Amino acid sequence: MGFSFQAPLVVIYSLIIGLLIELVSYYFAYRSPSYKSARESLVKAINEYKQLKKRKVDILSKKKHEKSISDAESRITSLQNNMQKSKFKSAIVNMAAMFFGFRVLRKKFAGIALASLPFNPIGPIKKIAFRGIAGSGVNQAGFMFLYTLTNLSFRKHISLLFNNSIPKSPFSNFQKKLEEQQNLQ
Amino acid sequence: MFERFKSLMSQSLKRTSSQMNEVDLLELLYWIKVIIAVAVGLVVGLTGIRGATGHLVAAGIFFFVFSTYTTRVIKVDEDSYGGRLELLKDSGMQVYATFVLTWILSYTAFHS
Repeated sequence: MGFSFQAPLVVIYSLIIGLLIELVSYYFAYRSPSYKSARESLVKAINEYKQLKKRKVDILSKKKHEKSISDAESRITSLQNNMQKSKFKSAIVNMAAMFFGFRVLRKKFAGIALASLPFNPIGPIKKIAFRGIAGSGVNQAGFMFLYTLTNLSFRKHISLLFNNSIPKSPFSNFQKKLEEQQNLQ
Repeated sequence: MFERFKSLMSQSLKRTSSQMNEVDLLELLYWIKVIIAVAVGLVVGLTGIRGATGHLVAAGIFFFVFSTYTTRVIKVDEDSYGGRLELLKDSGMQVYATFVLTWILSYTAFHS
């Protein structure tokens, strides 16, 4: 195949589309005072929750302590849901931006093998990797695979770099059930 | 711009987990995983290792470097996060995609 700048070019285009989507989300959601204050409250709630979990209490205060933890979990879940709803406002425009970006890439790079794969993709990944490539396409990837990989990885990187992401919940329903089972034993 | 990222990176070798709050710690660990994934992707791509061997070598290096960082540098209490595997699994898809992308680009640049 020989060295070509086309594969890095697809990654750069995908990054630009990712930045554009972040800009749209910023315009519709992130810049609002309610989103910013919700984010600050969420960070504070998560840190307080972790402190509560670490604290050791005697038997007399255990019920009150468990109630505080449960209230903190409800508050965190509620704040995260509110932030998700704010982001939803920009969802349609984001989808349009992704679609438009995909069309631009397809126009420029359709049918061209852009990269050599150092592994044999399997299952649905094989279909995405070889899609639209003229010829056998063995161990080669087109623009769609690179676009998908870039989106999958860099959307979160961009969101974190600009400090717009929704902080992750410090608990999961699975973990809670595990703790309940351990307490019953 | 990127003040938060710069602040986290400046803390990455100076502070331990007990001196950081929860959200900062998890974000720092995410960026450390991304940096390791890019470095490992470059190493595996440049050396031309292919297939399952590449995945195994990458997984081994990644696990070793990340574990060393969490236990000896930042000193995370892994039990409070559900164990080392839970810390590794957090945002695993994004980190793996970053590794694969770096691997493909470096392999294409030097071995195709």
